[in-house]
Amino acid sequence: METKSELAPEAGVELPASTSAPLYFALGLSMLLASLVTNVLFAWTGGALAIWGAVAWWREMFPHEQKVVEPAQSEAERAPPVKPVPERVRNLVAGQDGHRVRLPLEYHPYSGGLRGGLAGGAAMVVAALLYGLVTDGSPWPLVNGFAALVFPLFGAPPPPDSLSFHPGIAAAAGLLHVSFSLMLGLVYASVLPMLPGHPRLWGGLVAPLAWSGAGFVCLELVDPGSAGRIQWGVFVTLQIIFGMTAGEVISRSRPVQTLQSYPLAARAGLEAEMREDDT
Amino acid sequence: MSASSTPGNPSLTGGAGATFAGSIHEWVTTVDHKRLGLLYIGSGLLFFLIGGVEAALMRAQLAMPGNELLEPQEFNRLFTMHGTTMVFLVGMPIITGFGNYLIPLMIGARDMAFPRLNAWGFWMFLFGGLVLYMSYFASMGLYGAGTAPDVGWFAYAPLSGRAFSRGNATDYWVLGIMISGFGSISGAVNMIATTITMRCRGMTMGRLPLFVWMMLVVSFLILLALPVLTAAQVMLLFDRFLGAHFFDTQAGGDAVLWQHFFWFFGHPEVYILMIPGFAYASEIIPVFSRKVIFGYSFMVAATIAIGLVAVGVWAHHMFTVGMGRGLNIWFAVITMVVGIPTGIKLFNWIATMYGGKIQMKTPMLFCIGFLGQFLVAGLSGILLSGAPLNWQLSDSYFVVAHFHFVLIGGLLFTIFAALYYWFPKVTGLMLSEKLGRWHFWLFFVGFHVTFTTMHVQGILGMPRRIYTYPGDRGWAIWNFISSAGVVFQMAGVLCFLAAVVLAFKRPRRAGPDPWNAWTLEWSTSSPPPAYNFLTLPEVRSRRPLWDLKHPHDPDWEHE
Amino acid sequence: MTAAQALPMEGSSWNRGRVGMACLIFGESTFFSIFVVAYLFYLGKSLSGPQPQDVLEFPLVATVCLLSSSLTVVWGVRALAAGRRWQAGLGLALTVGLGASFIGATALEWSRLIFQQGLAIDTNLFGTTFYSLVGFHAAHVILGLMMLSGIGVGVAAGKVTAQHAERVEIVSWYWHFVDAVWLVVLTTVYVVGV
Repeated sequence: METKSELAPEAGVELPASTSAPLYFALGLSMLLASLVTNVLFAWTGGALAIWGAVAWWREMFPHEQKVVEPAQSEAERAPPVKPVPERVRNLVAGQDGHRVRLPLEYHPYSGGLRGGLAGGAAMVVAALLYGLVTDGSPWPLVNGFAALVFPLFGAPPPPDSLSFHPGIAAAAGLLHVSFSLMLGLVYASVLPMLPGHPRLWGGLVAPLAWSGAGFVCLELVDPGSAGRIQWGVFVTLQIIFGMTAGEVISRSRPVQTLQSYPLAARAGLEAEMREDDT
Repeated sequence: MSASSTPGNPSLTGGAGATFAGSIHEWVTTVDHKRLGLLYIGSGLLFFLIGGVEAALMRAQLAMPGNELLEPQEFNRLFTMHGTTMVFLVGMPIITGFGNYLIPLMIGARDMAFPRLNAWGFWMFLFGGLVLYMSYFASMGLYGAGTAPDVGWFAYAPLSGRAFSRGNATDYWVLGIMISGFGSISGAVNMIATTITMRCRGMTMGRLPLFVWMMLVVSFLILLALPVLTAAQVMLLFDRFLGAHFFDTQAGGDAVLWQHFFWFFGHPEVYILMIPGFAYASEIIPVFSRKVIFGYSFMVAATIAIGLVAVGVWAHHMFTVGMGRGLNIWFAVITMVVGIPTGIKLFNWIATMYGGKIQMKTPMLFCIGFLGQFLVAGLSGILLSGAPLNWQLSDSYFVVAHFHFVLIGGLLFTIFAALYYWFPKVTGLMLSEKLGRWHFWLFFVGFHVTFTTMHVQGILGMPRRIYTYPGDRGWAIWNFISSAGVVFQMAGVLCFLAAVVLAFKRPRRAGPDPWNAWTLEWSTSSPPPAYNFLTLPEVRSRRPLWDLKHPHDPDWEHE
Repeated sequence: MTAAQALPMEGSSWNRGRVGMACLIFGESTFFSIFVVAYLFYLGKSLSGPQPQDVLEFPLVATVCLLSSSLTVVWGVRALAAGRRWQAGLGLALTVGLGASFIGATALEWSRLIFQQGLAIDTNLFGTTFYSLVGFHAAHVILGLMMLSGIGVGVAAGKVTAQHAERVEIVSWYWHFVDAVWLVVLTTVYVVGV
């Protein structure tokens, strides 16, 4: 910003002159409208004031705009010119320590996410079947319980009894389970590299606990009946088994670099030489 | 900030203002954008106190079940006048006032494009407000006593028709709002013309401060929304005075048409009030984070997007009138879309703070409060946009909580931030930081005690606008807590008033640039002279003062 | 690097007067569109007669008067800018005359509707929406006529001269807007509505 003198400003600056015309015009119009609910006298007075104000306004503008010269402030009153500050500026660079280091510089490939999701889901199924065998003598109660929880959402009837094997129900529950597992695996693959600290801790413990807790609170409000049927201890344990397995498998896949660490020209797909300070 | 309490400031009282009468004369005939801005903000704050007292009375009535502090009719008048006052006589003038004061200073101009029209707009607003409040004394009610309007701030037909709303109370509502609406429209014309044609050298549209950009979008929304309200009100007047049948169901008229017209104004109006809040935050957060705003162009684009979407969502206020499946889905989806540009803004403010050297001064405190509360407001808004949930919660205290989170948690907090931030520029005096902190914490606590609990009352089924309730519904304790919060809010506002008085009693000079900020208004003296800039400035980047302060690393090398 | 920069609007014809008038026209358009929407919404919903197709006649003369007045006002403004005072005065006088004939034609139509057909604003929904829409347009025509005749008197008295041509042109924009609104009203009321 440079200042640039135009006229000879020291003498003062031309500004529009003060006028009462708008005030009278506004008062007149308001009274005119208010006369609807008050008295016809308001209409006459308001009309007269409005015309008077309009004419006065017109004369302010025509044939020439009325102006006054506002004297310039004395030197003492003026703001001093803006001075440079002594501090130098250090610009942030992507990837620099201490600031914004959590740019996703790399992520796990989608294939790793899918594999991790499948592995986690499989581990969870094995654990669930074993649990059923140990407590009820049949592997199927948790499969049927899952179906009983989810099917009503899709308008399907829940399974008739929980201990025996129903092929259709098992297949549908398996399909749902696999799709949930794959989706979560994909989310893990893209999110885990961005979280600080150890990815196994986030994926294996924090994330399952977070969604179990959220599910617990929401289900309690939305559908207390279903919430009562769930054994929450088993539920959380199974989620953690999923998370640990999936997190482990995903973090073993070879990470892919994102474009974030490349210079702009490379990201835009241009062939260009890299300046040293670009990286 | 009132007109008469500014002794010792040459540019505020002027030469002929030596006598009291002379000073009054100067203020009522002024065409100076800064004085008009102060008149707008000052009268807005006066109406704010009135509207606040109305709210406090209602909370006192609702504190206990079966309370008999207020008559039912009186309660109806209070919520009507409270809503109307806060939207039209507090929100509108304060945002127009800040726009008036700051736009010419920020774009390096000496005045608005139409100074006399500016004055006219202010007086129309003020007389509109006076006409509305005249109803308390002058309106011929059924029993010959004066009555204020009692049809709610959206005056649904056919309740507002001649048959159900006898006397002139509703006419006062129509006329008062219509008159002040003309003022708002002229203000919008003025702001657009100023922003487009009065910019200083180098101030391209891409270098406009975000405040100015957002006020530009707001002005267009005003031009789009306010005439709609005026037209609908004219129809209502025709119905009431000439026996026309616009909203007369007995003659085939449609009461729902009023709802469509009103909300086609009413929803853009929410953004008209809210975008200025974004504007203040977008100026204040970077300065107190000591960083440039993150994603300038995205902020502009998101503002324009909000403006465009704002005109397509009005009927989400009307899910319960039975519009049919197609319209319900359309308005639910479009309403949820609003969350996208608003989310962009929220993330940009947070990204601006991220890694910055944050200074927890009072304006910044209010802005941080705004960020969290506005997020909650947005989320409960998304909840309400789902038509099925809306059927459950519509017209309950959940809705009351939602829009008070928007207008208080969002707008009022940023208005307070703006008052603390620009007060030194306007008066040349600093506000007490200590009282400012008291103000923030008291108001913050009071706000949450009052309005966070209201979500619960709403979910428990308490309808809005009831003047009392039986004690066995489980609402009593929540209502008592809500009412208790009012005490804290009032204490907070008193701290603000005390800070203003103290600033004049024990003046601490602010100097032209107390916050080490970057936009043009901080380059001139505080308070600015009538002509703003003796020599018109010339800018090369979005932060002209940064360029001057850091000549070896100016912004224009990066933009 | 330190070369003086141009004013943002330098070289553009969009000064504050034009922008202001454009904004006013934008706001007025929203105002009118609400009345047009109400007219279309209530079309055919009147519970009792008279209906539009029974009583409305296409206002050919009024339309020709108003639309041609847009041409005469352009002619007058151009003459004013070129300093041809008498021609400018004639252009403005013609415009005012044509506009006044439009108002006269509307007055005749209204008196026929009210006194012969028995259609008033409180008769039915058609009367309500018809008189509001057409009436607000007529009110804007009258407002425009007042402004144009004021300028016309100024031109005749030699007070309004070529240096004011720009401001007069901005006023003429308003007149064109009133014309454009009439086209919309005409289509809505006399073409779609009957």
